[in-house]
Amino acid sequence: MEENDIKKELDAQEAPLLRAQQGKVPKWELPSGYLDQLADRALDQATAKPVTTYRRLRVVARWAVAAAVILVAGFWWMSNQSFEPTAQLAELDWNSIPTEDLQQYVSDNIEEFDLDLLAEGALETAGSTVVPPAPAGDVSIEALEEFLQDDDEWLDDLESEDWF
Amino acid sequence: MQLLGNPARREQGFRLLVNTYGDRLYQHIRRMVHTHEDTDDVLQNTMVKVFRSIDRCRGLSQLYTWLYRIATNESLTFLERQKRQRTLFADSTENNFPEARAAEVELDGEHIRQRLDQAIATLPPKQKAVFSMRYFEEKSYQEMAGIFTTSVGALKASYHHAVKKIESYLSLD
Repeated sequence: MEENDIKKELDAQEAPLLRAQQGKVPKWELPSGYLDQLADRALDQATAKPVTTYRRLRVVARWAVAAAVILVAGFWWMSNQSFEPTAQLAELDWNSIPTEDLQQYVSDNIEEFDLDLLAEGALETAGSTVVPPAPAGDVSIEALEEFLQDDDEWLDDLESEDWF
Repeated sequence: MQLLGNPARREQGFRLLVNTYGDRLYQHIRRMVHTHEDTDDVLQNTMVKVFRSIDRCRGLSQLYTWLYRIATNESLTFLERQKRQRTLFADSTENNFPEARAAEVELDGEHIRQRLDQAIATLPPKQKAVFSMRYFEEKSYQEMAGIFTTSVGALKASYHHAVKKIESYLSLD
């Protein structure tokens, strides 16, 4: 019944080549014992579920380890990148900052500075001519007191501009 | 179905099922995937799914439809995966198909089958399945609607397109 319907359908669709072959196409021959072997293989695979799950877990674990390594490497790289702004700061052009602004900053934050370093920097800027020469050779206590009493005016003569 | 429903005799029931329906499912799958090796893989996967989910099948009347649905879905999944791999590796095995099969062809009947096989290989996966079920297995549209879970109208349209393409291909001889 259905075969007649199919042939009529092919006639209606003007498909004479398919119409002529319908029902005559040979089947593929299965190899001897194929279906028994197929049942064996399918049963083996279907009942081997725990092994499959374990293998899948191992695959998942490998991926997890790989992802963790990538994350750690990423964080390490990012932390190295964070030093870049400091490097950029070091390359800042100090000459472009007006002296008045620097003086204002120092006077506002004077407590933050190491005064010894500040004095040393001021001496370098002002030049060695300002500083009186220190007594050469062995120095006695008396000579040192005299030096400090007589020659400490140079510190008072320093202008704040000389500090920079 | 009684054997399959009994856990102690399920294996025996499964072997009976494979021997009863295996040949028909093999023919159906092979018309879609074309080579014995691929058919063997898809049929084995089908049977594994059948064994694992046999409890979902309700009664002998639905067994045949249920088996065909699993086999068709497995074949379509295989064809999709094959298509993705072919795109990925730019390897068109479909083009090699006629040459690969040419050595097998000797007799007239086999020549007819080979030409039809080549023509079917040009169809999209779902049209392959619809054409195979209607033309070779002579299934009614109503029965096919149960397997594909789609409307009779959609199946008729799909079959109509497939017939046009295959007739056109065969007329090139």
